[in-house]
Amino acid sequence: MTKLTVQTIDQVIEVITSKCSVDLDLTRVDFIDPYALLLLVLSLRHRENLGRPLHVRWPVRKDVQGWMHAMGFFAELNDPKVPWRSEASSKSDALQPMTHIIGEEEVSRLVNAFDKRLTSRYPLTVESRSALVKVMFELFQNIPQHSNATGDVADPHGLAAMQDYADSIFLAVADAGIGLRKSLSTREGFVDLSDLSALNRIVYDGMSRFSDPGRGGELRQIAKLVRRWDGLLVIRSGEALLYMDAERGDVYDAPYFPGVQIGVRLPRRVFGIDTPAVDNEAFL
Amino acid sequence: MNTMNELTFPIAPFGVRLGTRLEGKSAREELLAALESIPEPGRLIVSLDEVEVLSGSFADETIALSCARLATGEYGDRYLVVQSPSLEIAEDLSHKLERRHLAMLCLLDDRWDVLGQLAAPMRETLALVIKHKETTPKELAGILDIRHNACLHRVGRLADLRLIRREEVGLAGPYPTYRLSSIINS
Repeated sequence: MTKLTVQTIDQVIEVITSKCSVDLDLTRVDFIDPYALLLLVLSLRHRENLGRPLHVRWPVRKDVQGWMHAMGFFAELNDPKVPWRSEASSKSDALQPMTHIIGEEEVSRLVNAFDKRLTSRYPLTVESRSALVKVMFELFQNIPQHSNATGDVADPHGLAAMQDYADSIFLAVADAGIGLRKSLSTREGFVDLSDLSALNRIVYDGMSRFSDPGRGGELRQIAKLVRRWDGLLVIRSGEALLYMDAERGDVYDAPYFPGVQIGVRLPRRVFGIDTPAVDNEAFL
Repeated sequence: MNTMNELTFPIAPFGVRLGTRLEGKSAREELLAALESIPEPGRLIVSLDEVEVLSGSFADETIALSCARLATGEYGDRYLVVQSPSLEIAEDLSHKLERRHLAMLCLLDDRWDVLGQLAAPMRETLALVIKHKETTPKELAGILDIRHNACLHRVGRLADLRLIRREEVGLAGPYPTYRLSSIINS
């Protein structure tokens, strides 16, 4: 496997979470998207917490390793308690490194930091900027609000990262919390849902763990926006994966992983960006 | 209509990008305090001027929840109206109101619109009340060419949603008669 992406990362997760595996060979990897990067760090940490050692051979390409460093991957893996800086080096291709999302009171500051990173690199249209900021507000605050609603996990490890490519901007938000099914199950009448049903009820029906009708519907709004803009939306939780692009949208079975992981890829043209501002062809 | 007391509550001091429920909750407390401070009859204009981003979560926590409490009658003869530089800014608020089966009047530069959920016949009735500034169900029923009872049902719902002001002014036989007035200047 040479590319770790939305389409391929589940194969890696199967290896990482398997009791039988002792090695993970990523030496030939020449591209990683932010969604795959977050899942990689969360799944490796999950494995470590289970006390089962795994020998990982990292990508040999220097540019890939450099990007992983700039995105805070190795720092996050080695010492997750140290909050990662919110800005990447201006010499790096990394747009927005992995950032911890812990409390709701920090969400506005983080959204502004992400927006600042993006606008420092590109002039954005007002409409696209507002839409992306709204998406970030909703996805980021979901972590403190829902990822540990039952108090079952010690730390849901909320993370977010963003990267730009020649044709798109990619935002990833992930946690290793209780997941959508368990969150929804705290609401009366939603106790026995599967991961797949819970994902459907939350995204397509706008349900949330609250009976208050004003709560919920945010992921549905984001799905509508992504479709309107011919983007890509991936929502993964437990054993279910929603994959929605300009042509199709459906929920699929996936290998189990705790929490919720979301990837949003939007075409650069919706931001009023026509030409690449950075040389990141190596990752295409 | 012109005798209604008015206060403007700008949202921008809470930030130009308004996103979280936590921030929305504290803004709601101030909004409801401002609403309560207006002598009856009164309207609070919730101004979105200078706001760049209003997320659904913040909008729900601050404005839609306030609107829900207003609709219970908790704040007496008082009303909430949104003022926005564009409908786009209020788009997520409208979505949240819709989920709550509520509606609010929104003042734009040169017109008004309704945020949230309001069926076409109700919009038509609301538009007539706003146009006439002050009217009665009987007069409206005549203009709309609908039965008096149907009109009473419509204006009753509009009054429950706090989109118009309805005052009981007497009795016609065993039934109350009403004066209807607009809560905005058309």
